[in-house]
Formats: sequence, C-alpha cells, structure tokens
Amino acid sequence: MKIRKHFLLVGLFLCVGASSIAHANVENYRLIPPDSLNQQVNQTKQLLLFQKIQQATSPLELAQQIVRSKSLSTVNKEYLLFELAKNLRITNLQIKQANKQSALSYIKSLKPQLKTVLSDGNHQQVIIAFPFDKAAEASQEYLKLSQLAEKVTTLIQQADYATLSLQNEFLSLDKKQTQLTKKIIGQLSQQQAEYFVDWSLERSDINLESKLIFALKAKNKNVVLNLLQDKKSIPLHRYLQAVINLWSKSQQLSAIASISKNENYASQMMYLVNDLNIPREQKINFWISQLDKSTSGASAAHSLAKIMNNDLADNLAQKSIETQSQSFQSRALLALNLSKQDYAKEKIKMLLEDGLVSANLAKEVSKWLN
Amino acid sequence: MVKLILSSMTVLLSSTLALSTLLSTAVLSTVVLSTTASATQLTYTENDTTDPNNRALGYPVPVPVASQTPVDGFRQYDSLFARHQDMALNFDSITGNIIGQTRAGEDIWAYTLSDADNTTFEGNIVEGSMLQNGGIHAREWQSPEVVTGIIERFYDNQNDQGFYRYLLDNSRMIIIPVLNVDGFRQTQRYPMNAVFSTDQDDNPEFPRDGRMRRKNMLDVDTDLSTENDFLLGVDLNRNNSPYWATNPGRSSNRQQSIVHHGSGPGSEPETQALQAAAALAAGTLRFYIDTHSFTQIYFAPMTGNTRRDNITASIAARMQSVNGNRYAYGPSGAGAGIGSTDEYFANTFQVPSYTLETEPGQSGGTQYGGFGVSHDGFILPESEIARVRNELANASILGYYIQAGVPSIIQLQITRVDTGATVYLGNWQADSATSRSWQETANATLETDVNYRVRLSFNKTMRWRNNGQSAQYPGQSIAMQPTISLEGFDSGGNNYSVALNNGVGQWVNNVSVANDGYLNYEDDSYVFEFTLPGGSAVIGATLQQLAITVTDLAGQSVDANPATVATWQNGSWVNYESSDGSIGDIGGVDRSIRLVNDGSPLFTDPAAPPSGGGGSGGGVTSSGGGGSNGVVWTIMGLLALLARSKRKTI
Repeated sequence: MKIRKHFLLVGLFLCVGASSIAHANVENYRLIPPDSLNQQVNQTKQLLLFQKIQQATSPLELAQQIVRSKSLSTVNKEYLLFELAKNLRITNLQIKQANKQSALSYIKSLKPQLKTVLSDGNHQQVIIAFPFDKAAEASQEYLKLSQLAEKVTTLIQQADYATLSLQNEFLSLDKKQTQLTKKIIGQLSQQQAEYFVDWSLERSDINLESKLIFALKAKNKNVVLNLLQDKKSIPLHRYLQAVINLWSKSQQLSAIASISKNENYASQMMYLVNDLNIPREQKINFWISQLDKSTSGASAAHSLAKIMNNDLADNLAQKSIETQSQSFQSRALLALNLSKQDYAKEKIKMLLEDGLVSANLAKEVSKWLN
Repeated sequence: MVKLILSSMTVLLSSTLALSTLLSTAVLSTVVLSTTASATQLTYTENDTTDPNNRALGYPVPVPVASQTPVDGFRQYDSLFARHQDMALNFDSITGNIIGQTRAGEDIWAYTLSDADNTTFEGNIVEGSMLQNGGIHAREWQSPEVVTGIIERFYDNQNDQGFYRYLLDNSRMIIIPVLNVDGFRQTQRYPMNAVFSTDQDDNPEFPRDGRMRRKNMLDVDTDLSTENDFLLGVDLNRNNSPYWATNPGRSSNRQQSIVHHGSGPGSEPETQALQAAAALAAGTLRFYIDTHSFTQIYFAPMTGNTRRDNITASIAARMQSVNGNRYAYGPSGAGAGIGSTDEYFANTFQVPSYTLETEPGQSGGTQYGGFGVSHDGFILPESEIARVRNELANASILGYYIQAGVPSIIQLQITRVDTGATVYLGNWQADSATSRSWQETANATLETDVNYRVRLSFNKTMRWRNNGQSAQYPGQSIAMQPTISLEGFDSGGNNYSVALNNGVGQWVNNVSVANDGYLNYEDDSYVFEFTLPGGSAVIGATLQQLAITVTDLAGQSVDANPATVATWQNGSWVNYESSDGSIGDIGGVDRSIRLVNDGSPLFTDPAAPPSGGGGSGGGVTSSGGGGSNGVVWTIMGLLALLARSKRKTI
C-alpha cells in the first residue's frame, strides 16, 4: 500500500514536471533522478514526459538537444533517446518522405547510445524504431547484444516495415531463414513484398528460396524467372503452382519451358503441365518436344504415360521410328511402357519385332514384356 | 567375451534408444487416447495443434514429389521408378532386373551397375559384387532416396574415366531401390496420416499404417479407416534365416505385431526377391548393406569368422569417417539374431554386412529443430535429404571400392626424358583368375646423370579428385605420396637403398603422351622422375629391386605379391600377401619388381636380418649367407645399416 502511494506521488510529480517543460528544452529533465526515471517508466508505463516529444514538430531537433545536453546523465540520455526512437516509429514514414537523408544520418549518429540501450532486454522494442532502411544495420547491433531466437517470434507479430526488415536481417543470419520467411510472408502486402524483393536481391546472404517467396508475393515475373535460372536448387515443388499462376494461360507453357532450362527444375516442370488449363493437344506436343532432353525427357515420358490412349500410342510409335535420337526413342518407349496399357505394350512389341529399336535399348525394353 | 557382451549391449541399447524418444511423448497422449475406442487416425502437421489428433513436427510435413531428378524432397514411387528405368535405358552400364513380385503383384526391380562382362579389365580375374537394399521398411523414406542417389551418382558420372569407371568395369553393384513396394506406396498414399496403434505391445501413441507403415501389405487393404487390418503385414526384416523367430523379444508370431516375422523364413515374396537379387551376383558377393532409418548407425552382425568380422569393422570405420564419424558402429554378437537381412547375408555369404540406419540420430526430428513427436525420426525434413543422399552415396561407394579389390601393381615403365626411349617396361599379366606372370619387354641398364621418368601403374584408381586436383576421398586421411626406393646389393655385396620419388611425383589423370599419363583409369598411375648421380650404389648392383609403399584411396596397402591374384573367399582375402609374404587382409610393401635380379627370394628387404621364414622364391641371395648363424647376420646387418646411413640418397 505504501509503495502504491509512493508511486502516485511520484506520478503526480512527473505530471507537474512534464507540464513545466511543455515546449521547453530538455534540460529540464535533469530534475528527475535517472534511477527513479527508469524505475517509474518501467513500472507504471506512464510516459508523460514524452508527450512533448511525440507532439514535437521536429523530433530530430529534440533528439539533437538530448545528445548535446551537458546536464543530462548518460542514463537519462539513453532513455530519452530510446523513447524518442519509439516516437520515430510512429512518424517513420513521414520522416522518410520528408527528409529521409537527414533522418538516416541522424539515427546513425545516435547509434552508440542506442547500442547501450539495446543491451537492456527490456528495451528490445527500440529496434523497431529505426527507419526502414537502417533497420537491418541496427539489427546487426541488436544481434550482438541479445539472444535472438525467442524474440523473433514476438517481432513477427508486429508487422510494420521496420519490423519486417528486421526479421529479414535475422533471417540472413539464422539457419531457419526460409522457415521464418514463410512465417512473415503472409503479413506482407504486395507493395511491401516488392521492397523485400529489391532488398533481398542485393544480399548474398539471403537464400534463393526466400528471394523467390518475396518475388512470388510481389508477383514479379521477371525476378521469378531470373531466380529460377540460377543453377542452385530450391525445394521448388512447394511453389510450383504459385510460379505458374503468375503467367496468363497463354504464356504458361513458355514460362515452363524457360524454367525447365534449369536442370534442377526441368523434371518437376514437366509434371506441372498436367495441371494447366490448356488443350490436351498442347500438352502432348509440349511433352513430346521435351522427350529428348536429358533432364526433362523422362518426366515428359511419365506425363505422357498418364494420359496415354491409342492415338497417342500410335503417335509415339511413329515418331520413335522417324527420329534418329536414341534418347527420344528410349523416352517414347518408356512412355508406352509406363502407361501399362495393352495397346501401348503391343506397340513396343511391334517396334522390337520389326528391329526398329537399337540392340542395347532392345535388351532393356524387352524386360517390360515378360 | 567382454567384447561380445559389449557388442550385444550396443545393439540392444541402440535399438532401444531408437524408440526411446518416441516413448517420451507417448505418456502424455495416453490420457487423451484412453477414451478413444480404436484405430484413431492422426495427422502430421508443421505446427498446427488445434486438433487433439494432430501431431506437429516443427517442420513442413514432407509430401511425395513428382520429380525424377533429385530434389530437396522425397520423390513419388512412380517418379522414382520412371527415373530408374530411364537411367537404365540411357546408360549402358545400368541394367534393370525384375527380381520378383510383391504381395500385390508389383514388379520388384534391382539395378546392376557394371559393364557387360564378369571379369576385371585384366581379363581373367572375376569381378566381385556388392548388394545394397533400399525401402524394406515402408515408412523409412530416406532409404529409397539414398540408394537411388547411389545409382544417380554413377549415372551423372558416366563420362568419368577414373573412380566411377573403375568400379563399373571391375565390380558389379546391385541396387534395390524399393523392396517393399506395396508398403512404400501405402505410406505415400497417406503422407500426413497414420493410425494410433491398438496393438497390445505398442504404446497407444505409436503410429501405425499410413505414413507409418513399416511392414509389407500381407492381408492389408489400402484404406486407413478399416480397422481390422491396419496392424497386419510382415516385417520383412524379421523374415530371414538363420535366426528367424529365435528372438521373441524382438520378433513376434502375432500378425499384429510391428515385428511380425511371417509364417516362415523367407515366406514373403519380397524376401525371396532380395535373395534373387543376391543370385545376380552369381557367387561373387562381397558386400551387403540394408538401408534403413533412423538412429545414425551401422549395425553389423558378427559371424564368428574372425577375419570377416575384422574386415567388417574395418570397412565400417572407413565409411564412418567419410561423414566425420557422425555415424556409430554397432556390432552384434555371433550366434544369435532377430531374423534380419544383414544376418542372412553375413552368415550365408560370409560378407561384410550392415544395417545402415540413416539420419536422424536418436533424438529424431529434434535434430533439425523439430518438436520431437513420436516416431518423427522416420520423417526427415525435406531440406535435409539432398545432403543425406550425397553423404551416404560417398560412404557406400567407398565400401564398394574397398571390396572391389585390393590394390596391386600391374606395370612399371621407365623412359629417358631426353629421348623418350623406354629403358624398362614390365607388367603383371593375368594368366588366370588366380595368377599373374611378369612380362618384361624392355630392360636396359640404368646410367648415371640421365633423367628418367617412371610410371608406376596399379590395377585400380588410386586417388580421388576434387575440382581436378588430387585429393583425399571425403573424410579419409592417407599418405598421398607413395614411398618408392631402389634397393638391393651393390657390386661390393653391401645392401643399399636409395629413395627415388622423394614425394615429388604425381598421380595422373591425363592421357599418356610420353609415359606421363594414366594406364587404364585416371589416377591409376603415379609418375615421377629421377636421376642417378655418379657413384650411385645402384650402378653395377647385383640386385636392383623396387620397394613400393603405397595405399589406395581407402588406405588399403598394395598386395605385396601380385603374382598370386588376391580374391575374396569365405569372408576374407585369399592371396593378399603382406610384406613378408604371409597371407592376410592388410597387404604390405611391394618388392616384386626387379630391374636386376639376383634370384633371391621375393619379399626380401636387403637391409633386414634374415629370418627363418618368409620369402617365396626359395633362392639364395647374392650376398650369400645361407646357413650363416644369427650373430654373423646381426653384425652384417648393423654394418649394412651403417653403410646405408652414410650413403647419399638421390
């Protein structure tokens, strides 16, 4: 009970103090003992002193005064800067638009003090006060000072620009980068995703999958295509449909053909054609055009097998006779066999009996007929 | 005895620990399930726990991927099959074989990786065979991917002229990608679902059928919701002789048991297919691995054949080292078993035989940040499988390489660097499956102050390449440079030894132009140059023999006597001589090549004091001394050592 009364008295004192410094310079803060300031703010959450900061037309100027102050203790300076930074969170976008460069320069100059503040776990929220562009840099500092893992989840819940930027900085340094990217992607608007596309493309420490996730969200087809030309592997099967959905129906096949140039994805792209809402003949012609490709040929054959009928069997058998490519022939025969259809098996038998299959190939193919 | 007890304990402990992580979560769920009538289905999720029957893994639940090329994921059976067939159609060294049919009548395939003939490149020497089985337990999705990765490794390296080509030409590797096809299809039919067990031996949290089917599909339909059959099926890894149904604790005659051993040894068509695959080896089997998951260990049954058991341990150590010893080794005691396939192959064929439990380790999915739900070790995160595929292909293929044959010198060629003229050329020619003879087609006297190039060739690829550079095979640590010296007795009858290569030669992967490239396979030859200075003891010596100390890329020393062909028989090597001519499994220093031959026995180190045994030639050394007593020999030996220490080496 005594303690509560004590806080009420202190609160009253603070209110009086705050009103006395309205529109005044921050030197007045010296009236408040640093220790009690921190204690009160932490415990009561009544940040009356900073109403003026929040109302200030020029928070940067106010911050400069804090830094230059000779009468404020270091602890108080840090605390005030911390609160100022929180204020900046609110006006972040306005600052960016109005005077981005000076805001960034200034925040950079604040960093030494803020670093100290950041070492206090209670003040982790200050990170999100950084301007959007600088959040990554700030988070690096943050990372050095705190145990990251548990806090990421909290930050993910606070989806504004700065927070998301931070999260991605974490991702760049965390083994679970992709997993975390997937968690935040749902909170991004297309416009926000565009920022992350640009941001992630410039970074070598953001993995390919995360970049692709951002590009898909941003519906940036050029970037998606470029990323998929990269010879590195992405566990693409989880995104395939999303990838294809970026293109209009008439362009989907050409997009698939383009992505199939990357041997890591060629095989999977062949299967995806089956799901496209395009005429059957187009699908068949596309798959047949891929049969002699080393990376996509087998999948194309498998896909053909799934839609095999007598006409297609005739078609494949005829093309198998006409072509000079053994890889084409082997895939055409593979398609016939995988279909498990009697008519297709008959076609294989006919090709073998007529000596239209090379000896090596015939040796393997004949096993299918036993 | 202590070793046997420890071995038994290791197996027991490992198998117990394999399930220990599963038990921890089981207790909690018992309460929830106590009111469940029977056969409640569960659903695996990434992190959704809103339904009490959800089991959140903590990572995305893998779903079968429609892809024939390897991806960060687990491929559909149909895609895997099409991939295997395609590789067989498009690479002459891969051959598909139907080895049987499953309970549901599906063909079971094995793929043979080899050239068309059954002999090594030398002609008369019979190739050895290796067998690796995959997919015997349906839910262990790592397994078909890992063994398919081995086939793909060879397919992707079909233009290689070194390590892979050597293996294809000189051994027969038989791979079964999926033995339990029916069960595997069932797990892929329900990638996110299983059924809580109602079996009396199981904890109620234990998942069965669906994604967690282990056994084959004997008397089982594919519908998860039919409750009278989901526990049925035979554990194919309990269906084998010689220890079928001998361990009631780890194998059961109850059809519902997770380890039901079936109606008799080899009763299941899948087991018979595995045996048919062994028949493809035509009596030349030297190695077997059954690929499972999980707990990260090489289990190995002992048979009591000491040499086989030791070789089994030695090869396991090599395979373990490939992956930084993250895999353990678990030998089991001889004379007992559980009816597993590794026991069948160890005891029937006396070959090194393993049950490889792939990642994760005993902690299951928590190894990758998962939540640790029951049995999650069988659900490897998709993001890990590409690495596991690669790591275990490296390990298994090293095992194949070791068992393909011991290293042996097959040719020596010495040329003058200035003129290119051959001054010495000899090679061991395989006259039969068991013997070679030395064919010498040039032998001119070595001169002083002439730069000579030596090419020493072996019967196998001896070194690995990484980015074009000679390098250690992953995880290995061998002496990259051989030690080669010329030794014998000089014109004064004193023994001498001069180092020839001084560690500055190189293993070669280029086509030979001037005695400077490989002979049959890249890195089967070592090339270096030397010059004999004036006054060298070699000049005029009555015995000039090479002493060659070298291992292959897996650390096996050369066969000290190439005249008798080393081969595998009844669990050990035959005709694999050590430095002193004795037969064993470790090899030694080759002293079989003589530029000047005094007729003395082979395997003789001129600097060594004579002993009662050793030597196969039976001749007398030119330095005499036959019948001399030990004291005289000791004094002579000391004098010889003193003389050698003063002699300048080249």
